[in-house]
Amino acid sequence: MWQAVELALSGKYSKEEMKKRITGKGGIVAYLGTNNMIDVENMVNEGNKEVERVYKAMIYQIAKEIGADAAALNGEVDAIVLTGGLAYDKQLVDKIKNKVSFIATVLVYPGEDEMQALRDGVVRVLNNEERVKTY
Amino acid sequence: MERILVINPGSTSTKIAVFDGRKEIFKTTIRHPAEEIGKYEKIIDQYEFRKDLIIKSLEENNIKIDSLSAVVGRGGLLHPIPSGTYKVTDIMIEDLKKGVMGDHASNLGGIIAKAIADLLNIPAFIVDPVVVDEMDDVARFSGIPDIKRISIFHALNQKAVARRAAKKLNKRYEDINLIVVHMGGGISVGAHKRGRVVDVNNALNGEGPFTPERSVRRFTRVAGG
Repeated sequence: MWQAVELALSGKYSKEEMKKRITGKGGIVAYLGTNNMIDVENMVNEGNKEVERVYKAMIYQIAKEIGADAAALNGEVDAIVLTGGLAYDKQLVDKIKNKVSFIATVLVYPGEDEMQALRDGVVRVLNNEERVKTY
Repeated sequence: MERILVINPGSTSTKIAVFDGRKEIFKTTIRHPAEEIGKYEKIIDQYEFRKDLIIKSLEENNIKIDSLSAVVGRGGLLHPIPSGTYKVTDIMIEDLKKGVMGDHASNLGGIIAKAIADLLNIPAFIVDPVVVDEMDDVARFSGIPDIKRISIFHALNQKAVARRAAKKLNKRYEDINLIVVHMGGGISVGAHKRGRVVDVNNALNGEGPFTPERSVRRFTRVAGG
């Protein structure tokens, strides 16, 4: 993080630009100029080694974060659940599985459905399965 | 059968859906061109405009608003709260309008839900906003006393899939431990310990794995971040 401090204070970037370098324009898009993971995967499959290095690094970091949470839970993990848009990417999912399935079984629920999730929250309360909370 | 209106406001559109129990009977996305919403100084000022469009859309699709029994909106940037379904109260509305944690389209969810619900004398709710905070004390330390780790993540989807996983395992969510990995433009990895997310990386702040663009959502400002 010293390097981040050096970069931030180098005078080359405004505060907003520096924040953007961390979130918004950081990660895959910073290395490869695209945030489209379908493109990234295609380039990997076409044998682009540079792209593959970055792709592998992201998977490595995701697996490490899962490992960190396994430690936070004292190793008592009933399942690992992969979700969100990237969970549609079978290659990515398989590569993560290879690294973390020693911890627990991996379940995959691709995408996200916010409308259904909101509905379910209300249904649980209306059916008295859960008590409504007050802010 | 309870009829539920779901309202999910984004920066340039409002998604709505109507369910009879769990069955979807209507769904649409109302787009808001820049020239229409650009005239509002703050996002929060758009609530009446968006509310009227929602009511109009329901009427046009022959859904009588007095057939509704509850309204739910996407939760906004409130003060940190435990996970769950919350009744929208005046105090909550006040915080959403003030933008206590920032001005963001999701703040409109609860406000519009209550405005419509009040017309009909039915309850309004929000569910699992991004500010859900169930973090263990031990996870709040950064090593720099003036930087406190905070819980801000894809709570709605993390909680929803965690419940799905529990069901699949034939267990109660409150009885098991899960690691949930939400992978989108930003990635949040949450340690779910017997129904509570006791630790989660703050992707908004750049914590955790690097991602396609390392962002959760674009918040204008996040207090304490």
